[in-house]
Amino acid sequence: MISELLFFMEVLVAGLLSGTMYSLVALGFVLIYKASSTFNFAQGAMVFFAVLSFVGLMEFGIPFFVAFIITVVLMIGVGLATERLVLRPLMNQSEDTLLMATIGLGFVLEGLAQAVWGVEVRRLDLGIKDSPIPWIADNLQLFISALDVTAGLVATAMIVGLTLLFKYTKIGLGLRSVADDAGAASSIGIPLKHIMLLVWSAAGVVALVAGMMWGARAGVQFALIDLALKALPVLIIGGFSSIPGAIIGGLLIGASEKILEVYIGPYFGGGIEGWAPYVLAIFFLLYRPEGLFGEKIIRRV
Amino acid sequence: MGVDSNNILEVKNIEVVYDNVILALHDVSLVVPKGKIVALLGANGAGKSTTLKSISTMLASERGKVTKGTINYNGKSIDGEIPSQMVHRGMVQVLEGRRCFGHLTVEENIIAGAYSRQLSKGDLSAELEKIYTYFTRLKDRRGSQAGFTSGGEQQMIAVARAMMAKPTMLLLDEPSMGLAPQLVAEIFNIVKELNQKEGVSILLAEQNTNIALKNADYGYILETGRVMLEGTAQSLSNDEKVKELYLGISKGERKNFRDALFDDAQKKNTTAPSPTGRKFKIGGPILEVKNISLYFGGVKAITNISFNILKHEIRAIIGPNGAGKSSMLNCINGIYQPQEGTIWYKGAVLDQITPNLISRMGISRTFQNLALFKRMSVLDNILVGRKLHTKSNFMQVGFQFPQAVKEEKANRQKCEEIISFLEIEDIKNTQVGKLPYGLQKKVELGRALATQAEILLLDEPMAGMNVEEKRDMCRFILKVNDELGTTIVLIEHDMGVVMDISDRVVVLDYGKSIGDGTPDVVRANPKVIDAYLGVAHD
Repeated sequence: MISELLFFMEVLVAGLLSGTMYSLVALGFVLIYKASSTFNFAQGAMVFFAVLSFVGLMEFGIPFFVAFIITVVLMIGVGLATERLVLRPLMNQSEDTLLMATIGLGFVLEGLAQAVWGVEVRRLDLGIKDSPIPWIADNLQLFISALDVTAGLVATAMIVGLTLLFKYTKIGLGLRSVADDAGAASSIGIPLKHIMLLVWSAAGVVALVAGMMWGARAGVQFALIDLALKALPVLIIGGFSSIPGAIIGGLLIGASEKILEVYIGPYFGGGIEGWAPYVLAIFFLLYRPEGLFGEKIIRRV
Repeated sequence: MGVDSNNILEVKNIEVVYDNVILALHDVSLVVPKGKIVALLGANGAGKSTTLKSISTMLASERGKVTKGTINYNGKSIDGEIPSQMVHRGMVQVLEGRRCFGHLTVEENIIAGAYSRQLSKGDLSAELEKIYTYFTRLKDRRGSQAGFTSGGEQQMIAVARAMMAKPTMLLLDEPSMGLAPQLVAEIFNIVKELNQKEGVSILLAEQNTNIALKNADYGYILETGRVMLEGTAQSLSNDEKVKELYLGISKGERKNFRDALFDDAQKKNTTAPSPTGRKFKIGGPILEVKNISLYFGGVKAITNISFNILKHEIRAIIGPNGAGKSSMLNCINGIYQPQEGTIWYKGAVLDQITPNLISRMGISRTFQNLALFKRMSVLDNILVGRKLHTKSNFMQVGFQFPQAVKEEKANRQKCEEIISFLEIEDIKNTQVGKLPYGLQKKVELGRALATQAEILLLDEPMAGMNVEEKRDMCRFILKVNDELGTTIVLIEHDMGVVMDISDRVVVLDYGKSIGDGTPDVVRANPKVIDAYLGVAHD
């Protein structure tokens, strides 16, 4: 009995922690959705591009922190170029047009990353082992991966930081204004291009961090792009425009997919982890389309 | 053509083109002297908003361009500027439709207005306090989410937000739109105060000619992208032409509204409701509302209201903003389920009804804020109204079954009839989103007609229209009632129009019925006069 309970706890905790990794990816989507009301299909490619560049730089023998800083600058550059070459010419076009443009941007980034760094799978060593933490294993009988815990901590820190930024800084207020009504925001002098630049750069940095966490676990490879699409059910559940939503959505998906896999998976011959989150998302679309924390559409009849 | 230093704004002969093809302004020139209020008047689609947006450079965001002429602000051209630079130069526009940041609090909205300024924390709160002295009502609501404040409060937020940028000039676009008279007066008082105490020059676009001329120093009247008339506010309000165009014809001349509309129509060579009256005599009750109460959580929206609607009559539900008019309509067509009371339709209780069911039973409606398919043509929008009368399924239509083809033909025929009935043949194939507001309202009426409903529920069919457009809408409402015999229930907060066309009126205030009867009876009811003229309720 006790061991069953412990096992369940272990599955749950592992699920929640891997959920924070989903949250990290989803965070990048939320940032851009808030500012441009568009789902950024290039986010997955940004994750891949960022972490591949980071690993590539490390392979040149550049130290960890220097490589990190260079990649951050690089991602800001990507943000700058995106604002300049994609967003600005498409200003005042419909959201659908912008959505298509992000798909295109995704292909460009994917191609660019592979052209520069090659196609082979690389290993990323953060110096954190993806194995149970001995202390917890000994004292609580729970096997929890150190990498999961680190990812959880990093995700929490980023989320707290971004929330504070939005809530209490001037630029955050500007961003929320643009998210609400870009036309009205520009009428009172909020410069849209600065806000866009900021948001895309922030999304780039978030992509880098998410990519590092995922890359350390699964290897830096093309499949990261598909993995990032797991953020879609996370966002549907949490709400596209909500940072807390991204977190809770991530945790829910992480925990439920692990639990379903372990307890129900065998009946389906296993491997339900891949699609169970989407089934969950469909239920949300049917019964609560704005997600748990999404902004309700305020509309009078 | 030298620059006059007494003028803060000089617009000379500008021409504006949208999407490279649509000519919106032909040749507009105007000046705003420093510290004055100048009004820009005219109907929907006359070019008021376009003029303001050309000046604030917001035009680019709507794919419009100033193709000729010059605009000088504070002695310098505005060529090549973008909105945020104009704000730095001291010009701020308050956009049409208020455009508050609905998810932000009232105070966050106002603070966002100071985005372009570098203020220390102390300075910011001092500025905020100063703004609150003008907008005392907002101070009480500073923590509320702006999206849930009333229309009047949202307008105040928009003006307060703009003032936080410390403008030397404000461009105000339709601040009175859709607001009750007391609120409009309150907002204009604040605007006037800002003008006098803060020395802000104001260019004001308004449809409400009356209130605009009362507060402005000078006025321009636009019509289809040209300045038709200009003059001091005094001279404009005494001008016979203006009176006739925008203020409606003076009272007393008009005994019978139907006759008057008939005269109008003859002048314009169009059809009018027959002056001899209607084809269908008013019959017995078709719909009865009995002791309805509706709550939202603990808030009572409607309290114990009863009234009936007779077959073939025009029945108005009127009342100030927030009186419960739309809620009442929403109960009748099944969007809300009242917690108490019953609604009877043709002698049977309407129970467990949904909007879908109700339209099958012959009750159709239009919406206060337009619910059209903006990217579809006028004809297609009206065809949607025929859905109810279409029996063939998509397979049958897809494979062009004879029966489906026949049905489709009949539907188109019917729609063509409606289009010619409403005299909108010339815009039949135009995309609805490109039409001016007044015409869109007409298309919505057309779609409701296409359902061949027995009862039409019209939610503020004349909101946001000028006097001329209102008269036009009245003409069609009467025509529908006269010639098709459709029973009409309409909501309005503009009393005047309603009194002219309705057979009977029920007046709501704070969710209660405070009067019911013919227009004359209602007009004489002291409670109604109180509700409208704002004598204290408490």
